[in-house]
Amino acid sequence: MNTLLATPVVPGIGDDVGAVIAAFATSHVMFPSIGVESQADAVVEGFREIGRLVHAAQPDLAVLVSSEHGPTLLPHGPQPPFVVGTADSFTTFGDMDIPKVTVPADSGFAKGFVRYAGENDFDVASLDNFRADHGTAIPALMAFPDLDVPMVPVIINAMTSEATPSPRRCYKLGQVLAKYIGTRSERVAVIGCGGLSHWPGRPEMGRINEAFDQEFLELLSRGEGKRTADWSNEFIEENAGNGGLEIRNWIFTSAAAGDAGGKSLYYEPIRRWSTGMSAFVFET
Amino acid sequence: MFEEGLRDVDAWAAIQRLESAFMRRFDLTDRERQALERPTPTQLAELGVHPMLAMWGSHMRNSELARHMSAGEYFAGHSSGPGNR
Repeated sequence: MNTLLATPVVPGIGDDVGAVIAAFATSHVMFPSIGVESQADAVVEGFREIGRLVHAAQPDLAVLVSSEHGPTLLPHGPQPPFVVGTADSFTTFGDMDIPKVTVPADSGFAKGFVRYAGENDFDVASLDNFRADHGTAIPALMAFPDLDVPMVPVIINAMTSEATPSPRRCYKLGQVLAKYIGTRSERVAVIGCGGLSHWPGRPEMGRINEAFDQEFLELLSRGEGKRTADWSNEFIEENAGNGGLEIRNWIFTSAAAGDAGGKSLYYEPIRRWSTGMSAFVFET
Repeated sequence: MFEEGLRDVDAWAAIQRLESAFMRRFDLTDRERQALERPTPTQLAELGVHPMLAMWGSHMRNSELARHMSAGEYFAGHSSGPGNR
C-alpha cells in the first residue's frame, strides 16, 4: 500500500504542516470602478481578505489555480489540459494595465507536483516561461501586493474545447494535489481563480446567470463540490458561458480542500464588467 | 496576426498602429480590414476569430474598449507602475 496516498488532508485553515492549510476561490478580473463603485469595493475587499487570511495561516507558498488566456499558451497551441509553472519565478504580462512584475514561485514544489501527478494518472505539462495574464496576475497582486508569498501557478485549460478537461478530471487532480501536499513539508494555501458566469468574446457577452452562480456557490458552501464535478463542460458553458468554465478552478480547489464547505465573501453580478463576481473561503 | 501580437511586443505595437509593412504580411479581406479600424469582440468573433483572440484584438486596436477594461486604477500605488498592454 502506498502510505503516502493515505496521508490525511486537513482542509481550510489549520496548523498542520504538509497539508492544505487554507483554501479560497475568487473571480480573477477587474474593470474600472466608475459607476459600480460599491460592487468594485466588495471585489477589492474580497481579494484583501483572502490575502489577510492566507497570511494568517502562515503558508510557505500558495498554489494559484487559474486559466490562461493566450499570452503564454497561444490559442492555436500547444494547449495542454493542465499546466504547472515550474520556474522559481514568473512574470506578469502587463495586460489591462496590470503592473509588470516578477512573482516569486517555488520550482521544487512545482516540479515535484508534476512528477507526483504523473505517478497518479495525470500527465501535467511543465512550463518554465510563464507570462501571467490577468487570470493569475490580478489575484496574485491584489491578494499579495507585496509579493511576499511564493505562488505556484496551475493552469486549467479553458481555451480550446478539445483540450478542456472535464470537471471530474479537475476535481480528481485537486485531490491529487492535496495528497501531494500531504507528502511535503511546506504549508500550502490553494486559491482557485476565475469565473463565475461570463461570456467573453461571444455574442452573449454581457450576460450573467445569477441563478447558476448562486446555485454553484450554495453547493460549495454545503461541501458538495463533488456534485459539481459531475457536471459536463457543455452544461457549464451553456449556463455560465465560456468564461464560466473557469469555475472548474474552484471545483479543483474544493477537491483539494476536501469539500470542506465554506462561505462566500461576496457575490456581485456586475453588469458593467459582464461577469458574475465572487470570492469564497473554504472552512475548516 | 493577434497571436503574433501576444508573442511579440513590437507586433502588438504594429497592430495598434496598423503599420502597413506589418499588415502586408496578412492576407486580409476588405471586411477584415474594415473590422480592424475599431473592432469589438463581437465583430471579430463574427469573422471567425477565437473568442479570446477577439478580446485581445479589440484591446490592441480599440483604445476606448481597452480603457473600459483597464484594471490600472487598482494598482496605482504599486511600486512598479502599470503595465503597458
